Amino acid sequence: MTRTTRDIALGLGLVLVVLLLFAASLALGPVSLRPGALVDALLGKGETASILIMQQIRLPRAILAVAIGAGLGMSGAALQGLLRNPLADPAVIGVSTMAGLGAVLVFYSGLVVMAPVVLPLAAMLGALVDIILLFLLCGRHGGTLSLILAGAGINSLGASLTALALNLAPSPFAVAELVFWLLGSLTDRSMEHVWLAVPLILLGLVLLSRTGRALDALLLGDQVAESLGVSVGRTRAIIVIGTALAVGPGVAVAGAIGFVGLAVPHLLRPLIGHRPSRLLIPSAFGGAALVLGADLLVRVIPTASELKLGVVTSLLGAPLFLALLLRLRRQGEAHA
Amino acid sequence: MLEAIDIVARAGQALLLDEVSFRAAPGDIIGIVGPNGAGKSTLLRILAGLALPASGRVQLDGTTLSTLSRRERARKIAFLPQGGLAESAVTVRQIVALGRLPHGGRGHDAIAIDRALDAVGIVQLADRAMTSLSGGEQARTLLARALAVEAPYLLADEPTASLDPRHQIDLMECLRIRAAAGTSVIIILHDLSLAARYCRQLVLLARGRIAACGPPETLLEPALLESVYGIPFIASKIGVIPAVLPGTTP
Amino acid sequence: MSRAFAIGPWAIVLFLISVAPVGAAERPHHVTSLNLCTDQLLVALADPGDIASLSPLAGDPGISGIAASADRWPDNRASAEEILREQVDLVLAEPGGAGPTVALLQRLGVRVETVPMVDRLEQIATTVRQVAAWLGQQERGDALIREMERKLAEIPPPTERITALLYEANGWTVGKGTLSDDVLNAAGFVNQAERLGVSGYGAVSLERVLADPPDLLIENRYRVGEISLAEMLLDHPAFLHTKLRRINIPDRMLICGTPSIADAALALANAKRDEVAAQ
Repeated sequence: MTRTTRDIALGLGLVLVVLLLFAASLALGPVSLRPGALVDALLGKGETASILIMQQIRLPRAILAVAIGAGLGMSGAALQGLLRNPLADPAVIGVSTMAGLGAVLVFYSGLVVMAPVVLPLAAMLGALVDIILLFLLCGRHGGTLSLILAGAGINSLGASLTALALNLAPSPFAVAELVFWLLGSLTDRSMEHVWLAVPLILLGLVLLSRTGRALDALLLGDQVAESLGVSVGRTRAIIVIGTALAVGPGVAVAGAIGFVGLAVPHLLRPLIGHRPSRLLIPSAFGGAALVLGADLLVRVIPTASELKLGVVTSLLGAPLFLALLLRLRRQGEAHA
Repeated sequence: MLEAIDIVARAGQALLLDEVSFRAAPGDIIGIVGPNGAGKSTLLRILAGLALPASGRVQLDGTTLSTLSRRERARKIAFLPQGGLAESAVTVRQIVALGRLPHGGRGHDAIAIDRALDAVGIVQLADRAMTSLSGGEQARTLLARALAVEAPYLLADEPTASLDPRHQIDLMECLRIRAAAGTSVIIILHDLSLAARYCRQLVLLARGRIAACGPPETLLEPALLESVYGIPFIASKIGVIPAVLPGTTP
Repeated sequence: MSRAFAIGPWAIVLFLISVAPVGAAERPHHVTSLNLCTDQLLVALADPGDIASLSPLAGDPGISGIAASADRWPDNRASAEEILREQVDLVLAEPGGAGPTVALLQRLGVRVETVPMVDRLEQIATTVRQVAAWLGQQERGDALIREMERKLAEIPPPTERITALLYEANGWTVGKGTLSDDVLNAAGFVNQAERLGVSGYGAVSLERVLADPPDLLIENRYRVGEISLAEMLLDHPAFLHTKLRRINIPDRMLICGTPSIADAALALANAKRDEVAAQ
């Protein structure tokens, strides 16, 4: 099989997986519906109750899973290319936590009532603040260690401030909702949430997808990249803004979901190769598949209180993260 | 013609380059030599258009370099800095292919890539992952990348640094062939013998100023070198191969 | 706010133990209460001058029916030190609440009476009489009970079958065996929770509610206008597309088993009457 044929097969395979998981997501729920009734209801025919369930509850949930997963996957691939670091991921470097902080401040203070779009915008602002903090702490060429430490520090800070904000919030339910903001959930999201988040996420995806060439050149370092005609500063800005767009709004409506941006590029590299440009779009599909799959697990595994989405993705991603750390350490020792 | 005209460069208060001027014509191999901290890398970066001088300018074929578009400049000047690349399992061929980025389209890319691989002698490594190569092999791959740009001007900062003697010679021979075909090569070297052997012209940089500029014979004068480097030198010839050695006379 | 306790048999045992000879003892003049429901019973039965302090919950208009008047008395923090310093002669507590504090107080010789949890409508009278006896206010207790029974008797027996579902934050509802369920029944509703698979306290998914909706959805909000994700479920856009009729009943009316529960039942009965008229 030639390389091009293989690439096409891989691409189709990914799309197929996403479609299958999407369909499964629509078919699963507390109320069981016959396949025929399911499709009818989706199209607006049949019993009102079924139509509502499909169009107002299950469809938004599935769409959000795809969009949020795609945003996390692609931004993970882009960040790993930009920072030249295999451990980069929107959650590891604190983007998700800080976006959550922005959302929480705006949500519980009531500002969100002014205009719903304030919510995803506040989350994006939180994301931008995080990346700026990161660059201040690590510089542009920070190594793995400083990146992880800075990310851990910002995550701690963000989580504590979020908890504080929730403690001070007027509603007594707020404190228990910390779990939602830090671990994420797609339960009972509505089409309103879709309209709030998905257009912005799509914009972020478009921005990020155009940085492939520059990311490839950055493999050779900032100077060579510039000599090849790439504007490193502009690339950095586009990725920062693109990440804020691709990740922030998702956190605003579904909480922080971790490890997707870390795991997906790593899982795809053996299949696609290591060039950053070729990982961007497949990582979007991979991320969509991962989040859809995790959300299916959340609904299928019976637990007393709702299993949070971020728990499932963490269970999948954290061991991978640790394995990568170990491998990097071993490589480091081998070279020393 | 790549011309530096009265280049002044600063870092804060410190003066890095003090009115440096010289020119490189097609087919030249120009070696920039001098002690550490003389400003060689800074000068090369300014010549490549990657840094702006505090005053003075660089002209490329009569046009001021800073007025060229990024793409234009990328096509005309290939730059090879010191240091390696990030840990990545990308293949050799994919790295070399990055040299074609300034040229955008598909076109004769594959041919140019193969030519570059061949010129550096790493065709057999083409599908190996970078992480599986030795330091020297990686360095040669990065050179091939710079050659793949097929730019009329090739600027390299100590490309022989991590190479063994055989590959050092191979690299310099490769550059000589390129120059013979019309490329203008400007290269920073620490090895004065190598510089004397291959460069048609040398620029001796000391404390930000040009101490001397001319063919190797005129430059590699022990007295001049001692005044610049601060230690005695012996300059001699072994057959036709020049030898410039630091140290005291026995 | 919802609680999930099932303490019926416990309550009976406690009651039997505590019906000791009471008439001879002096009436307590310095009573403190550690929980919301005991706060409300205390305020309803005791002379204002006999109340030493109430729990901070009493002043929360979201959950307390006496919020307006609660600032007449100081708050306590359920700390043994405070209570000792105030030289309280009776502490009213709920089972399970402030356990270590209660134990400590008893060890130090302070009189602590645990007011049984009220899970069912029929337990209210018993509890009221018990607390009234402790406070030496038996007459007032009997009067309150009579008033409650009179209000409940005002509710006409149901002639149509109207279903209702109590819906709280995070989709929680109440089924058979709870105080709220009894109130719904007293008001003449059939509680839809059973059909949706909930008995006692439990959550029901939005999908289930939409698939098998009640005639009337009774929102039970903590405080109207306050924002939390939990209560946003009550505003899910899916509801906009249904013809589900909704009313709101404040949390504070159903939280505690006090005689004022009759007001909740009356309010719900009126809602039912409107619902019948609308159909």
